[in-house]
Amino acid sequence: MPTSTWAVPSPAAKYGGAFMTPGAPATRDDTPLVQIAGPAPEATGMHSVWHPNSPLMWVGVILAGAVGLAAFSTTVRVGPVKASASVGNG
Amino acid sequence: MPAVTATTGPVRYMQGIAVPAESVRPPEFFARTRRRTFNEGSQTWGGFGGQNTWELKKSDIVAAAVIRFTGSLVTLKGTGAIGSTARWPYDMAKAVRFTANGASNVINASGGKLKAREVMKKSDLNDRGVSQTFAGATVTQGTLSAASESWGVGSNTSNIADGTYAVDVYWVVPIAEDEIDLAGAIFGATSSTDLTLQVDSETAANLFTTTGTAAVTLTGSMQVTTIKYSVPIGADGQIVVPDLSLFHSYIQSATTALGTGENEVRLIGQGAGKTMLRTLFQIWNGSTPQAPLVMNDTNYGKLAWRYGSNETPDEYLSGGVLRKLNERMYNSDIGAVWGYGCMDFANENAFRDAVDMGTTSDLRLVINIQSGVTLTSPRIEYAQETIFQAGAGS
Repeated sequence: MPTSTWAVPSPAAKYGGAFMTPGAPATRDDTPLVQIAGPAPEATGMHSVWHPNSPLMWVGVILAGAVGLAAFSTTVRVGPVKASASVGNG
Repeated sequence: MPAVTATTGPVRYMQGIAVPAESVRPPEFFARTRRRTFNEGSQTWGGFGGQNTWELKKSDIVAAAVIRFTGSLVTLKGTGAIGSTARWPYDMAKAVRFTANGASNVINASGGKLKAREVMKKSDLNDRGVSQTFAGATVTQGTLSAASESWGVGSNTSNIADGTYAVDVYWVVPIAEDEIDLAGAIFGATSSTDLTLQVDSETAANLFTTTGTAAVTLTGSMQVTTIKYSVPIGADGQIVVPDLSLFHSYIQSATTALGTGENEVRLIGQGAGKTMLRTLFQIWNGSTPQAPLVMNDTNYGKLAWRYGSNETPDEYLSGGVLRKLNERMYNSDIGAVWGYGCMDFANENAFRDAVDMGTTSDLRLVINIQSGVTLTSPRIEYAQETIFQAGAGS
């Protein structure tokens, strides 16, 4: 059996005008999944890598510690020659 | 971590009401819906200068409302005389306002402008051959009257004899711009809906002139009938609705800053996102009671609409030219009796002609009033018909 449908024109197809303008108002678009009953990430500062809740911040702290210590104590050995450098009274 | 307790499904906002996105299926809606002609109730007319208000029933999808006044006009001259003004009978409804879901007054126009809009949109509905009395003469063209209507007494007519006259007139409130595809119709099937229709009635002094002990009494009732469409349930158990993201607006404004020669009347309410479909105008002139200037070469010179510095897309040489082109569009001589003229962008092909108000800054009507016209307290009344996404403006 053939399917009969009636084509309903979209506002842009019917009225043109402002409906043709790029950047149609947001009310027309489907909304994405939204979080409710919780503060927006922007309001909590979670989006910042400097926030203690950010894993990136802790990775940065560990890396900074490891690389920083290595920078203060370095030993290079080539064949019988050994050269070392250290900072401090040692 | 901040608490995130729940999520919601995708929704679309339809005129401020959240509707599940998957429910918006226009083809299925039109296949399943049922038209309903619904009696919203009859009220005793609020009297001259009074008010009648209806809160429409919360059901279905509302496309149009029809307001009917039926009553009895009693004139008693006594020692004086009675005449009607040109506001009688259609501007008896001084302002008809419709408020929908927080968008205040999407419709706000006088009864006469609503009659004109009905003919402008529905050009197969014409007033040809319908006999009424205007300025003491019988007119059969351009009255905007249906044959089933009764004005009781003529409009703008003096020396009305004593009598009891039956009055029966109606106005259509165009909630949807198009009653076929329901563009601009309102989703009413929710308790959070607020649909209010209000009719402000004109004062007796603006409808009738009386001298001596003459008295005019008008009594009657107002009935509201709405045209609605049921909200069907789809095969998946969800409601099915058409695209109801639009608002249709018909707003009347007025200004008195007019003189002979060229007048640029700036259209108020312009906004990005709005599409203008037509602008109707009419100039009232003369000492009280005023009458509209007939749309002809004697009264009007060049007529146009303009935007920007001097962009003038449509220019009519004189009132007579616009009147003929309007009659050709509407199948009604709207300029003959009530003096209407209209810059129309939707009658033939809205997609081609409609005006994007966001890209036409400083929209204005250009109206030349001939130097031979004696202006006394002139007042231009114009009604703009627009359509726009809900939330984009009002």
